[in-house]
Amino acid sequence: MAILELKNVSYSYNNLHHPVEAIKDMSHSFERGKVYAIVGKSGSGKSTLLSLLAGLDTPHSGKIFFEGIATADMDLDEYRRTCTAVIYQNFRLFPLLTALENVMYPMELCNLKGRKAENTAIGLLEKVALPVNARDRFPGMLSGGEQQRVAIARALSMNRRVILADEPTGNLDTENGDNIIEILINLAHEDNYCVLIATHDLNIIQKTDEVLYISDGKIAGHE
Amino acid sequence: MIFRNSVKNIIRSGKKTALFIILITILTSTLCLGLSIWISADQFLLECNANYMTIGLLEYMGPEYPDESVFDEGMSNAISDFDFSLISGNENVLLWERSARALGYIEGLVRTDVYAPLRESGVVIVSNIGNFNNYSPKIAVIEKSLFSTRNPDGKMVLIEPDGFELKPGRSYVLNGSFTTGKTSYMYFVVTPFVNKAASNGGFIGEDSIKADDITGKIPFSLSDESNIFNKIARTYSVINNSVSVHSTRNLNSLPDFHQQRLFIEKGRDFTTEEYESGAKVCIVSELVAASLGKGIGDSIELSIAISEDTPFFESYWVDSGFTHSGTYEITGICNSTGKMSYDVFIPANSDVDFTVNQIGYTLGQAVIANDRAGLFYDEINPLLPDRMRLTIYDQGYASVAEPFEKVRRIAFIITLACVIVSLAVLALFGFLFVYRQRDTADIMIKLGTGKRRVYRYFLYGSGLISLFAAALGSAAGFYLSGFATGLVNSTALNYSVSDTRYSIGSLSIQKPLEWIPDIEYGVFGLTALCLLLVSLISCLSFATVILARKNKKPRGKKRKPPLPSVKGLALSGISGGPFKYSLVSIFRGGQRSIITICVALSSVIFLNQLAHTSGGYNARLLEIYEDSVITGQFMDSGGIYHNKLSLEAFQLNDLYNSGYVDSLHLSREVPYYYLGRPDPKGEDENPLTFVLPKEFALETFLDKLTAGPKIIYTNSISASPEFIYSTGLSVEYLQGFDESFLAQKPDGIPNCLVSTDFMEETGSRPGDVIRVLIWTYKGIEHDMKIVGSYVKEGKKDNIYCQLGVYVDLDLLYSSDPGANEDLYSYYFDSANFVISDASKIDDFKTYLYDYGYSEVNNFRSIRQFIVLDDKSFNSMKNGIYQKIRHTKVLHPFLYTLTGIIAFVLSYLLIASRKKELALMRGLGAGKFTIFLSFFIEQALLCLIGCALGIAGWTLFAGRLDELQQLLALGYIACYFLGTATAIVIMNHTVVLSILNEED
Repeated sequence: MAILELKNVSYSYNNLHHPVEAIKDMSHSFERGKVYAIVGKSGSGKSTLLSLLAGLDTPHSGKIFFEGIATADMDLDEYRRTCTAVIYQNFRLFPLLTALENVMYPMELCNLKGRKAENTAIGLLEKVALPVNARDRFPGMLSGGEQQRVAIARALSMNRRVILADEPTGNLDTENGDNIIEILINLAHEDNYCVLIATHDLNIIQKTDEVLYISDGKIAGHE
Repeated sequence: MIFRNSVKNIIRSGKKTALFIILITILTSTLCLGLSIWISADQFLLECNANYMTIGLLEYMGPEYPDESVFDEGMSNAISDFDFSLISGNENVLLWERSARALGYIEGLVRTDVYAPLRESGVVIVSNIGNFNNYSPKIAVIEKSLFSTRNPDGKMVLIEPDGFELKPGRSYVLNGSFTTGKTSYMYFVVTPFVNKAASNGGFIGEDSIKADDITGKIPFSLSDESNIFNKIARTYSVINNSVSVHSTRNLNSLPDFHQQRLFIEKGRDFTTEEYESGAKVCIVSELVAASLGKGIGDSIELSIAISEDTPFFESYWVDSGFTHSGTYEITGICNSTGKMSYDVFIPANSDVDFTVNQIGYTLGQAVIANDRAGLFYDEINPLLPDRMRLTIYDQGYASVAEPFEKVRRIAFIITLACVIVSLAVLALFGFLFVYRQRDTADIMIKLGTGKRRVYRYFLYGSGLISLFAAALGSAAGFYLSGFATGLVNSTALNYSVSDTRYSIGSLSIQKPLEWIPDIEYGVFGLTALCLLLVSLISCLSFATVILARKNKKPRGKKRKPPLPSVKGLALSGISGGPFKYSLVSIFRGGQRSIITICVALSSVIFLNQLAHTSGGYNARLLEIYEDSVITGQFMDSGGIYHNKLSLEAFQLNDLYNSGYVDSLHLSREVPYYYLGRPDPKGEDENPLTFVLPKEFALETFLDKLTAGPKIIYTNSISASPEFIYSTGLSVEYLQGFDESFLAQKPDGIPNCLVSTDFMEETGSRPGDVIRVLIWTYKGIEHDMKIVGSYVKEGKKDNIYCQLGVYVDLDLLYSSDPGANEDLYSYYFDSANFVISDASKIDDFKTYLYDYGYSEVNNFRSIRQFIVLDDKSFNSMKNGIYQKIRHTKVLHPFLYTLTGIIAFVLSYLLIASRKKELALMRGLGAGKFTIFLSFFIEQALLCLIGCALGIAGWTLFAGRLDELQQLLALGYIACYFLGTATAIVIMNHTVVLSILNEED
């Protein structure tokens, strides 16, 4: 059964002069245990698609279903808290929280606090292979690769089954990029996550299970 | 092409272009209006300065003030002791002149006017002495008059010989004065000859000269110049036909010219050269000119008699002659009015020192810089000795000019503010229209466009906007100028720092001067041109900066801000959630947190300071109200006499019951004749009964009585006319008495105070009962007990008696409206009072106005003139009131501004963390969680800052008043509101759009 499903989803930005239709009547379904590559030119609608799937906004028409339930009928805050996680190209970590605290933050939102949350966070950071001495550092003190590991660890907290990665290696060097992609692929294949990666990188595309080509807000093809 | 692209650029930046057109238009028009009103107000003030003259009149308020017929020794001493250089050397004084008057004589001038000084005097030769009837004095025939204005030769005259024995069949030469009797006969009273100049010069001895038996010497030799009566007659003739000569260095500063009682009717004022050289020119009264048959350009022979320490009409004695004489050319003729009908004005000449001849009670006048009169008064008034009074006459300058001084200041501030804002706006204009297009410039240069063209590209666009906006602003200013000047004028007309009704500060005449706004329309064009030029310079400067940067290497990467230290952050113990996040943000926020705390701290201190200043002004005003003693006085229409005013008792009763005054001091004068001390044992039956003389003798008796000392029924000796301007009153009371007895109801024999001289002359002592005859419409014998003695300052041995003897005090102070009828027959000669509550002075003035009391120079329905001595009070009050007025406008503005800053700061601090908020939303944080996370953080920071501010202020000032607490709460409320608004707005923004913005 598809964990995520798009049905005739459309979305446009309210530009004052010209409304821009970013997603046009898009339908597709995504399953757990698979890694999806979302590919397309700049401005084709990749990031918008990921954002809609992440519950950052609702489609203007059509519906998105999570495990068969329309996201429009769900509390989007809760949906974002418990169902999906986003990994951004520029990491988006809280600058004033340490690596550990950044990972703990979503847990605390779900009332998982104190030592239990801390232990869970430490486990997640170990899982993404963040060096122990980096746990209590602020994001500004970490390398790009380390920051992205923290971002992945944060995405894994609260057991959210869909990970949406928007060009996660865009700000990383090749080695770090490869490591990150490996983590994400492992998450899908070993831990049964549904991972969607928006990317231009052919190396990544080659490692994914399914590739969706987006053009002009539509799925132009998939393989 | 360059022009076209430039125009396209400004059209396509529609919002920005419109914004700057509006801004520059508003600034140009405001600047034009501010500048033109400033210039116009400045010109008007210059005109005011030229049209108005402010003088400070220094007078000596002697006990006999303003009677010029007596010589006041107290004044003479005060003049010797006072350092007049305190006035002449004062920086606010433009010219100081001691009063310089002298008796003058013009050959050929004969006075027949009612003010001729010796109109009633006479030196006559009488014979055929006889008795008119049993009660009458002597009757005689005037053989010849050596001096008289009545042409009495050959006429019968009734003579009151003043103790000189006139025997029938004898002939006498008599000195005296004619009076009006009850018959058709002339009536002549023999009096001793008095002339200070003759006495001082040793020409006459101490023996009184009043009559001489000249039987057998008739015809009396008029040619015998050595005969004393001949000398007296010749002296009388000169004095009676004399003029008052005034020497001055500025005719218009003389009080009578300044107050426009006198003005030049023909000819001209003296020229500067004439003043400087002390030229022999003069301005004469029209009656002088008419009597002499002289006109402009004619000459007069003027002789001047200067004699030290003499009354005006005793400063000439025939043997002393004149001290100066000369031929003076008439350059002008002034009007004649009342006592100022025979006057001559000459430029001051260093050869003639008039000041030794102190005439009258005017010590001098200072011409003061119009706008510094208040300062001058405040500086000099405290230095004046007892009885010296300084009065400012400004011809209404203050009421006309003060509003325009404010207008000028406000216009200047507006202009200055506009200039500053214009410079800032035009700098921003250059920045946005040029500097922000540096990429465009870069591309243009790379495409081979020459620098000149790039410059033109920028200047065309910005120039067009500036030109259009400046022209529009200038035109708007032009059309608004009428409205603005009208508004200024109406504001100025309604502007009044303080209510000057009944004030001693507004005794002056009020010269009107209307502001006719003379708007310089050239200012509008010039202002527009300046703004256009500045905008072009701004754009040119930025263009130059851009083009100069093209060759420079770009700077290195921006340094990252320092990261907070993880050490010492003991937050792990706090369970997660908004509160923890808030604390983490506070402790790790670094500069952000410190700025919030500092701003809150400094804002609270700033607000406290404002409130403290405002409270200080209010407290000072209350102090002024509490400490000020404002007195009021009834005076004559000219603001000179304060006695013999015939004030109706029922009106004073109303005044007393108005609730605005306390310490109402009244006095009523009644002539008395001392009879003696009745036998305390009462053994002699009525031994001191006085038999009034009959008919003519009664008239003589009453004349003498009227001119003599008085019983003064009063409730305060210190506030009586003799002592009101003195601080040196010396009274010795019988044990158990003080001044308050005068205000008490009499019980048995009334008590009184007599002068020490009176006690010496009559041999009386404190505790004695004296009997006097008082005369109102009939003679009444009156016993009084002496309970104290005073050292007199005037000439007369007045007796101060309890007011209750004259009028029933219960009736006088009764609040029963019916009491008025019973008071109709009572009058008082003087009245003064103290205002009970200085803060209600304006209400009191309104009461006086509504009641109908007149002001000096402003007649109303009741011809009783009241002058309030509120100049110092007004000066102090105005100083503080101005500040309060400013704070009333400025402080609310600053309070609001601080509140806005708090709101904006908190809003911006949250808005700058949009990314953080979006991330929290992206991670699934609920809106309320986010709200709490940010709000708690900002609230705590704000509260910490405010608490520190309040604590600091309390430590510094010792207290925190209600307003300060409210202001701190207001600041906190604004800050909280700004924070909450920002969070709520951002919470309602779609997260996706925030993230897209960031990306």
